[in-house]
Amino acid sequence: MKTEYQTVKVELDKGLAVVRMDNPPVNQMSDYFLEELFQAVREALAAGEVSAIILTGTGKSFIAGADLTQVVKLKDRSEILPKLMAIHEFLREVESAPKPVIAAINGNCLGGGLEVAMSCHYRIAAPGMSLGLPEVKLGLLPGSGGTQRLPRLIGLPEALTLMTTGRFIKTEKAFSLGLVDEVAEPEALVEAGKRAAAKFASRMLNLSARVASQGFSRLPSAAEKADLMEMARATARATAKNYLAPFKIIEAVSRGLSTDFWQDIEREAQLFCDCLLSGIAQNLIGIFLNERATGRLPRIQGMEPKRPKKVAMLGGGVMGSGIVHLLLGAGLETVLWDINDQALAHGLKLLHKTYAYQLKKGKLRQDQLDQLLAAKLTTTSKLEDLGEVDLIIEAVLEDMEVKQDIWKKLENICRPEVVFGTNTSALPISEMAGVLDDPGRMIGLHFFNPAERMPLLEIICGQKTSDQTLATAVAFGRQIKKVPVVVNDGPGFYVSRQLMGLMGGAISLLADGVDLAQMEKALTDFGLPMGPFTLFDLTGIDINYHVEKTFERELGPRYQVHPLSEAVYQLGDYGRKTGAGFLDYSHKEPVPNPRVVEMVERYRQDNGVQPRQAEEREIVDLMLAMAINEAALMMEQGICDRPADMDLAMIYGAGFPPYRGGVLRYADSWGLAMVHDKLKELEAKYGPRFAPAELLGTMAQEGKTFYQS
Amino acid sequence: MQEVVIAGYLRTAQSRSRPRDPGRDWFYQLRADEMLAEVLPELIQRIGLDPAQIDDFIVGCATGVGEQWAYGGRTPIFLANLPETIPAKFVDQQCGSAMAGIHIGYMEITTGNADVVMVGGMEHMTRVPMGHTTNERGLIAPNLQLFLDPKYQSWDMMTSMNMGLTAEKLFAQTDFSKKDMDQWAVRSHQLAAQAQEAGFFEGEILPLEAPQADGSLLSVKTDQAVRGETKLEDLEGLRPAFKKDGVITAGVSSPLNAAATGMILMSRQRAEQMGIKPLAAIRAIGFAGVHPSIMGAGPVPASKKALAMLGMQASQIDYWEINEAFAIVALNCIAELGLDPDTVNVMGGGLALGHPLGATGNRLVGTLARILEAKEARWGCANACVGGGQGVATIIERL
Repeated sequence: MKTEYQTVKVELDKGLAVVRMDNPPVNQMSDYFLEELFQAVREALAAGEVSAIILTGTGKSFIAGADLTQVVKLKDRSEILPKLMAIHEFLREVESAPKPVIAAINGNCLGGGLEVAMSCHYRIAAPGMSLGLPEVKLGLLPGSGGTQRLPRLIGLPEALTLMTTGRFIKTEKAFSLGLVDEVAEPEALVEAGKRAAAKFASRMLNLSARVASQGFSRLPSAAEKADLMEMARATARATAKNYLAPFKIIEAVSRGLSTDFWQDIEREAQLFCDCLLSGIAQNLIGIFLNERATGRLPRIQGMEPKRPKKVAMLGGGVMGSGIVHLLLGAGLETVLWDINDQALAHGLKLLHKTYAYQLKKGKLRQDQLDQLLAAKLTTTSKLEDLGEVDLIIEAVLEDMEVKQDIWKKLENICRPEVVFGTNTSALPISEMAGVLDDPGRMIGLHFFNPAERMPLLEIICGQKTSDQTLATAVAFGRQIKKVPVVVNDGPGFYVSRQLMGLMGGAISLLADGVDLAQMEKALTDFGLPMGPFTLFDLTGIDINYHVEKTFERELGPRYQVHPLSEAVYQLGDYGRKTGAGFLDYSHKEPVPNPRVVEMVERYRQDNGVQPRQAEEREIVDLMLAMAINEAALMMEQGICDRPADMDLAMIYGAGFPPYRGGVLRYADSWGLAMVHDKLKELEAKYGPRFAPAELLGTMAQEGKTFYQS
Repeated sequence: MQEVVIAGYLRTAQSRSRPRDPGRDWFYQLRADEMLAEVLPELIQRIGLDPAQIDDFIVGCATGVGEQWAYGGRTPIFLANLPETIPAKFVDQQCGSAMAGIHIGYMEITTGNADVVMVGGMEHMTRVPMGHTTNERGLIAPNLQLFLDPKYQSWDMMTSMNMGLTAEKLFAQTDFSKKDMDQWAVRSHQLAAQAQEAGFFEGEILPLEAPQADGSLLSVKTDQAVRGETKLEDLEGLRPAFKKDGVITAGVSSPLNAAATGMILMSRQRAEQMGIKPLAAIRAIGFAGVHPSIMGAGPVPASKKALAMLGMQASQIDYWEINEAFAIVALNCIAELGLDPDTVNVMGGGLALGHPLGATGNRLVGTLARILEAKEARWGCANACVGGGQGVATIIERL
């Protein structure tokens, strides 16, 4: 019997075979690993001297799921099904084995990993491990029997929740649900496995009663099931209408859980193919894979970033307090600076607010928070006190002179290797850095509100930002658990400008007679968290106007502010903060602001435009075409050049719907030639704002796509 | 003391349960509480009772865990949309559970604490199986000291928790042969099949529409485990089911079953006011304990206690309904009480009809009352052995 494999090691111990899976980093189910695992377990099952098998992992994982780089390459049912069936055949052999196979869950047990564990006869898990079927988050369903075994083990209501949300549960919860049979400390897992094996030997545990696929006693009656499925469908329609996987999971369960387990498995496999072959799964998996690669720019490859231990936060406003929350969460020693004690006190108040949710939910106790703040946070109103820190993040007044004045002073206080990060959302980084003797140390660290929750960190390189500074900033972003996306300096950087490019077209349509509410609906149906006019009102029509003016000034005639925008701004209703903008917020539900309505009507009359109904398609096409064009323009101008990073930035920073993959993935699936034609058509109709970027024209002509694969 | 009568009795068919092969149980996609919720309103309606007049509801069930947990007996009331004013109790006296319900109802009415009591019984041995699954899930967890500590050795729990082994032990104490048991089993199937054919059980079974594995709906109206074609040779060839050199086979043990049963008890006065013709009057009840390792002996002392209440002899009873948990239980009862076998289980017994544990009590008393009616006889006694070492008995009189 072979005991040494590349990714599996087998230890034989008095009739017991301990099969250790070791496929770093997370024991993902790559083809070569599965091949070895299958062989190792099969040989142990066949070996006369082996009476029980303990399956366990090395490192932090039992099995953390599929190898997505391999999964995403499968493009055809005929490729997918044999792979799934090979796994099913293996799991069937494990289940029906005449000797117990015991899962000793040493670490994360996710997706396919949990499906393997569920096919074992007994599950022992170390405390605090994560278990779950997260496939739905990637647009997939658990395709290795999960939809059929989990309900049999823990009952349908809990199983449906776990599968349709993809939520993880900890060992302790899994134990109370009956998914885990026993909890043992990590170092005692194998011993516990041996004890369980002895219980099987003495018939205290019954092998055939522990075959998950044969479990029946936790399944609902026909009537209960009908009610449950109806509820699940309604929930999915309400919360995930643009997704596919939740519905396929519900179908697998609803038509499955029958007396013919293997027929149910075959159906599950077909439904898995439906999911994997859909654009949605391709987009979601792409995002997942790309997320790990954000910020890994060639220019900083191999560089050793500085790891800050002590960080100063300048300014305790809404952004500043959110960032302090993040810094403390990452275990960093933090100094909050603000101009005086009053400002500091206000900052601390805001900081406490950022913990309100955790306190209320009992995830954090007040005494723990007090302890954390006492141990890690100090405050000062003297810049001189910041001589010891390793990194400075600034979020003071959005005023170039004020900021430059502070940086100039700090350059004399801080050590030369200390990185200066500014959280400005609009001021040019290169200009700000101009006051420094060493402009290479300055970089933009653009957080999104609320900083403690929004996952994106937009990192902006000024013209002279050094590679070392960038490397440190990217590593810092990962350290505080953000997705770091690196772009170059320019008006609105990437995210703000891209968002303007996405939403800005709405004004042209409004001027052209299209109903405002119809546009709102078209964009939320598309999957955006809100429509353009709600967003303008939320950001502030005045702020938007000033940004547009900046674009017009800096980026040229293409960006000339639309006369209708100009008129709306002049009206003085700036949005939510004034009670009304495009919409009036003084009622229970927002209604069109009569002042804007009247103004728009007048504008249309003056221009001989009749109000009209537009197809949802027309609206979405116009707005997305303009967004894609904006992205191409930014690439031309050197603001950014990594499509995957750009798409992630919009998903994490602006709520672009993940299942659409991002602006550029959407462009690829639309077809760049089509996009180009659409823009030509729009240019003819609405003017130079829509003139296609040269880059788009070339790419369309050469049949290229933004993504290479 | 108020007289207590049986105003009505109705049950589902008893399907054959197979926890390892669920799809073959006709009722596998129905829960026991759902089945009970079909029986109760129909029973109430058939005797023309206003459900608001029900003073108490007692539901018997032997494995009240998992989906058979019934919130103190209230969930069947809710599922049947019966009035909230009906209080409930959930009773577990193992295989005597539903009969315990009758006993409690009898006591409530005789003492004047109630006038109308509804007794339910439910058990689904496919969906809530006995043994390993429930045990291993921690749904039942008998105290391990009873098995391990020498001071509890005398309870012989390894035998006492395994009904088949208790039957082996009881068999060993009697003079019966294996063949006697096999013959009794053949008789049970034949009588049951004859009664089925004659349409006897149609008077007590409410047909249920049950979804089947192939997606079809089956109208279930007969007891699934009855096999009239059973021959002695078939049974003689069976292997012992509980121990290597044993004699107790599957053929002489009751099958696993799923069913729901219902009965309505009333004071005689109330029944007369309502113009109901009762099935019978309950005249005495008995309950007794024996050593758990020979729980099958329990019906003997229980029946004796009930007889003693009336100052009667066993020979004065016209018909007996003895629960055939095992053939040996009935045979032992016949021998110990000196009964004429022709008065026992004349429509077949649990070996053929089935024994859905906690639901069985209503079936025994209800069927017996209908036998007295069919035979125009006067006295009947129903009894059952109870896991853990007990017996229960009820004596009824046709009016």
